[in-house]
Amino acid sequence: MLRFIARRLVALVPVIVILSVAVFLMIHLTPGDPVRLMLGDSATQQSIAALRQALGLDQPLPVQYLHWAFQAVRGNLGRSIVTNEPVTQAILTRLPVTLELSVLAMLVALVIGLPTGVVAALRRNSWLDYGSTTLALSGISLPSFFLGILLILVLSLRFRALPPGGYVPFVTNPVQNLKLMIMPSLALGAALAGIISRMMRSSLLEVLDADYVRTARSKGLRETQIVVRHAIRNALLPVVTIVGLQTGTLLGGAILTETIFTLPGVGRLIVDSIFARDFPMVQGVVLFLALVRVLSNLATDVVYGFVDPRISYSS
Amino acid sequence: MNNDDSGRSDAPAPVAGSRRWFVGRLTLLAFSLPAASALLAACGGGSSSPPTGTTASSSSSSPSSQPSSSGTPSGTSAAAATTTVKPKTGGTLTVAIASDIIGTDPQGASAGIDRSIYTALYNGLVAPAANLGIVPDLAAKWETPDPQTYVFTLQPNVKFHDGTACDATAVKFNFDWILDPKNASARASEIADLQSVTVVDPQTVKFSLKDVFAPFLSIISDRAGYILSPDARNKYGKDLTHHPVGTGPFQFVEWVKSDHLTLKKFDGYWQSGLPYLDQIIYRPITDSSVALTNLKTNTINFLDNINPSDIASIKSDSSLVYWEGLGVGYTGLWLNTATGPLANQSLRLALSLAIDREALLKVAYFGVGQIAAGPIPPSSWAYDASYPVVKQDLTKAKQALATGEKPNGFTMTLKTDTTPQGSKICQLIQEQIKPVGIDATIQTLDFGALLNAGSAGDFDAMSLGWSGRVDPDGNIQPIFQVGGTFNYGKYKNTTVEQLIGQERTTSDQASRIKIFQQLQSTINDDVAYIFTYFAPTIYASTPAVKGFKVTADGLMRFKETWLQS
Repeated sequence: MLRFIARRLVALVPVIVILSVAVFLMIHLTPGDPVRLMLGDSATQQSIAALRQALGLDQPLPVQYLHWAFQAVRGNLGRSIVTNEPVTQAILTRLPVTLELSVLAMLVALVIGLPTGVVAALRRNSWLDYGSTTLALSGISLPSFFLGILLILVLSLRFRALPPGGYVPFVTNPVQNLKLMIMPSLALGAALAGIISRMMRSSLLEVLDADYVRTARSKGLRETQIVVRHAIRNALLPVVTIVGLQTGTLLGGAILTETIFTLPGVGRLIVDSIFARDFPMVQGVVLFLALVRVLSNLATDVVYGFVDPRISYSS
Repeated sequence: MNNDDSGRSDAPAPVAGSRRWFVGRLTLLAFSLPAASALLAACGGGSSSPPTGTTASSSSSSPSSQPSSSGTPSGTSAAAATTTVKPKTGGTLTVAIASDIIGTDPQGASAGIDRSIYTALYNGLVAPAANLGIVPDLAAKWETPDPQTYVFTLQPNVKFHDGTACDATAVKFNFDWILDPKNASARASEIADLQSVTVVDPQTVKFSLKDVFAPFLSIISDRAGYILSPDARNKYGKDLTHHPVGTGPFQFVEWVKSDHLTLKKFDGYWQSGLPYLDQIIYRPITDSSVALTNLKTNTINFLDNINPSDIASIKSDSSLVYWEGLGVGYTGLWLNTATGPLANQSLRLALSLAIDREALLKVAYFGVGQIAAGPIPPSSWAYDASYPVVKQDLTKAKQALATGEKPNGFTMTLKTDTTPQGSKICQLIQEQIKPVGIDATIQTLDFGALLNAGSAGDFDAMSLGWSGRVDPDGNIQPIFQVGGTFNYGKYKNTTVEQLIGQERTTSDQASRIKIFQQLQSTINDDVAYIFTYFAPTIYASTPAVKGFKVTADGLMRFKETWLQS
């Protein structure tokens, strides 16, 4: 298992290199000049040239890339050219917000998705099944920002039950923090809940038709035991795959959700940085998100081993 | 439109409308897309020379449904309100801003919104008044022994937030720092005409200019003129942006990026009794409808980012107060006068005559604001209300096409930003000019890319406004002078060159007004730019917010603002 992980980690190196070049080129080749954006309408030819030189943007692109890459290898992602904030620090201060949002959204997705999926499978073609299917499809098809705005309109504006946005760190005020996080995690988790629910349903239906379930039934086991011990455990495997793959999607969804609910997370950081053409920040954040994505895929593979003993990485 | 009583009798009524409602990053910049109107306050700095009396009290806050709650009202009810109600001290004002700030250092790079933070943290020697005149600030008074020399007498006993004294040496330090090339200050070019600053005595400081430069006072009433603590600059260098120290009514507490910036009352503020508020929290909320919801739920008290389509509902909501005043910028179409079809003056004229500005005002700006006739806005002392706006005239447009040897029309590109408002305006224009045979292809670009296309001259027409400066020079020189940073259209006209040279070296305001009026006519006759709209400065707040004054430069100043409990 350790060897497997080590091999996968080594394989990541070329992926990261190619990715960093691609991101570097993409942001630098996008029309738009950070210096002009920063100076706004106070720009003059001289101030543009002076600032460009001060930021090293007058160097040829390959030189700029190598300079950045050498520093990045040493763990130094540089500083924002707009706010002068170190990139690593910018990511780390915003990461807890996005992590909390992602974890809570995942929790929402599991809490809603798993039971509805199970119920739908067990009560196939009943109104419960149709109800849960409708709910799941709505969750999948409603974009998170739209659902977010709906939630704000209903829960904040109409019923004044929850604050419409903002952020308080959990350690400062846990209650307020959770109150502020309810709507964002619902908005972000809804689509995933739908996917999990559908996946759980179809996967469980398949398992319930399997021979060993029939055997279990013929042994006279109670239905709950059959479902919980035998069926659900085996039906979970595809669900785990989905959950793993969707971790990256959650981070992507966080971009919109954080904007709607004004959460100071990594998603907002990347959006703001792209608009400002803050090259080092965009490169740093994308690199970081890519790492998270590949590592979460790796983690999914590892978890397989535990959920399904038939899968082994030892060879 | 509501009652805006913009002081001067000749001022056409109201303005109103949208203002940098468009999202965050745009505000970052300084331009105004028609769309968002953005007059982005981004820069508008300067201010005019002395106030000439007129005063377009740009502050007509018309608190629609709540007359009594207006702050500065130039209206009658408001006047009454200010005399009877005594300001209360204390409380926290939470302000939604359209995007996060770039920094708190006015001598570094800055976004439009940053300027509203500077007004809380810093003072300059002089400041723009509500009516766009120049009034004393840290300088109690000043003299101009000759047109190239300014001698300022400082207010006594002014302290920075760090306790050090703000004296003549500190003033000199700041200007020297900006002019020192190794600091690459974003303000260096703004005060390039400054020869030297001399400390006469601790309370007196003398500025010598290289040449007569009429807009000088207006320039130093803005970012270039804020006085920062030399101690803080020496200690933090460029990182002062995270540790700002000024003399302003509020001092820095913390800045959590993308989340909030908190300032607290500076107890040692040199104007005794001010400010009234204990604390201001600025929260970047990029989506204007989300920001409005925050206001409606009292999560914030003050909103700087209003979508024009929301104005009507804000006015009709008794739990909200709508604030409105004139603006300093203009909106319209930048034209490429060097290459492409619009290099031909007759074709530019045809395009201008084919546009129905009334319809734009009604449909795109919901009737709030006013049609622009030229680069000088109604808030300015140089504004000429009798100068006519261009009316749509398809017959004349066709004649102009014939004169331009394109009797059947021509094709052109029309570039704009990605906001819905930007597209809406361009689509309207596209439809309006089609009947005379002008076929426009709309291209939408994000703001950064749009700026690039502009500076590269890669467009025929571009829907983009100008945030505006308080001195009319700032609304004309950068855009219409050869070599001007924003002369995207590569416009060149010897008369304009001469007139700009004259207005900059004439100190007498009455003479400058005449020159500006000539400039306005020349630019319009030549159709160097198609002026369509003057956006007003607008805000919304909860009824508890009192004592706020809308200023035409679009900067929020909360020194005299207070909260009614």
